[in-house]
Amino acid sequence: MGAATRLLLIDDEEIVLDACTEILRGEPYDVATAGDGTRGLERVREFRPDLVVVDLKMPGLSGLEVLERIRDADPTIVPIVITGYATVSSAVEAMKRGAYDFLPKPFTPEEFRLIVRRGAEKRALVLETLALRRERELLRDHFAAIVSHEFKAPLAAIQQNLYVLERELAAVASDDQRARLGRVKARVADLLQLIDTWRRGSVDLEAVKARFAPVAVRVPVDKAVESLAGHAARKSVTLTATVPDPSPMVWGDQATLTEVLVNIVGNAVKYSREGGQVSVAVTVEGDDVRIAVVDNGIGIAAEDLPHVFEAFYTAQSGAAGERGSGLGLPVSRRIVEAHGGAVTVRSTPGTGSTFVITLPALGEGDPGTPGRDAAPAAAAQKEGRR
Amino acid sequence: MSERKKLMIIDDDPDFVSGIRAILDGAGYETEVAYNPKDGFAALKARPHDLLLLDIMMGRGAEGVMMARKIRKDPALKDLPILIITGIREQIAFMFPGQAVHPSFVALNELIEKPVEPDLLLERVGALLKAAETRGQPVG
Repeated sequence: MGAATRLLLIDDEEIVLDACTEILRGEPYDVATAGDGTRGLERVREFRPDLVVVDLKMPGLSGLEVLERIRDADPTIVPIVITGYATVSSAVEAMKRGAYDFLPKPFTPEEFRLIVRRGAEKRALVLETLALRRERELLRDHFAAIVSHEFKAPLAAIQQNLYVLERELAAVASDDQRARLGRVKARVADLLQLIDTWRRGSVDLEAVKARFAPVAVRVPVDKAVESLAGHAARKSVTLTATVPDPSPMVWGDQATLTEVLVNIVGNAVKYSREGGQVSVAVTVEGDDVRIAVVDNGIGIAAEDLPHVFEAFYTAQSGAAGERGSGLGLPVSRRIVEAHGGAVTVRSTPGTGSTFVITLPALGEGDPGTPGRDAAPAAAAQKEGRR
Repeated sequence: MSERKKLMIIDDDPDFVSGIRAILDGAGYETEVAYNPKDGFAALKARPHDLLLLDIMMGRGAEGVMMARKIRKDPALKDLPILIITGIREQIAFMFPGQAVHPSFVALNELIEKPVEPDLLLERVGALLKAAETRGQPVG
């Protein structure tokens, strides 16, 4: 950025090249020259100039053709034309083809210096605009990830210190104080989880759709079961999955489908009692792949059932204990619907809930192969991290 | 045998560090901290350590990943056990399920998410130290 502006001169008259080089001596330019259009284009590739000053009238490749090819090669290069027969029409034609400015021959050193300086300023603006645009795109693409990290980092530090306090005060704190500390910890944990769900829910589904590819249903099922194995083991919940072999295929995005299963299976574990059972069963029914997530947990009250897919709705009537963020199910439904599928729920309070995800199956002739490992996903409990 | 194990912590968040350091110190480990990868690498080169606890998101991005790669290429440090403690575990876990971290990402011994419960932290640190000890000894 502090570096010299790179200027390429293309002209068939050696005397012009020499004179222009001489004019710019001592100024902050790094100058290269070429004696014809073909050589000039080669130099564009090697020298990577900021500015190109090109004579319109040259034998061989004409100045106008050179202009066009420069624009194709790198539209951020600022081209300036020199025109020997200073007719308005040739200048206009050059400007139409992307020239930034033109200089009629003969010109004075001062005129040349001025036009080159203006060109260099234009180049700096072009680059700056480009950099800003890139930054904006980066920010847009990663906004959720950046914001969630910024929120999570201080919360993680708080929670980490609460863990320590809890240990250090264990011997001296009263039951009341311990309970208070426990509630603070729980609220911070909720907030951390809410941020995760929010980030995942901020996925641009249109962009995800553009990446759709054949997915073996076994893959997201296995991933979800694996990532929840620790949670299940801590509650002594038996988590099993059965997937036909070979795995049914769907057209979609593996990462967001995994997200859906983590949310729904995660809920099943969350609302299970100690020692409960959660099963994930994949079947093919007609043209649909059906994923049923069944738990024998606390269930959902009839009055809550119609609302569970609404954002920020968390059941009031549920048993004490774990609470959801109110975002997991709405996010899941959006994702499943983007896949052309649907999610439904049945529940009996006290007996358990069944969530069913249906997705259009990919037919036999469709591309893609299921995962190599044919082992069922049920190894979850011993393999999982805790 | 009873010599205290030396743990290096590299993390740019002093508050988080104090939260894990208290747990590790309390368990009898000797801890050293660097708040950026550069100082951390220098400290690792200067003195022997038994284990590294490494943050991923430092500085201008995932500098912890670069750091781990650099350590794995260093002849003197390549066998140092690394425990990654990160706020972005779940993305990584989704990308590379079934293994601690995908080999094409960086070979690491373990990865846990921030915040980390004291018992889990101590269990992981203990397991990694033990595994390293077993590796270093002749079988039998």
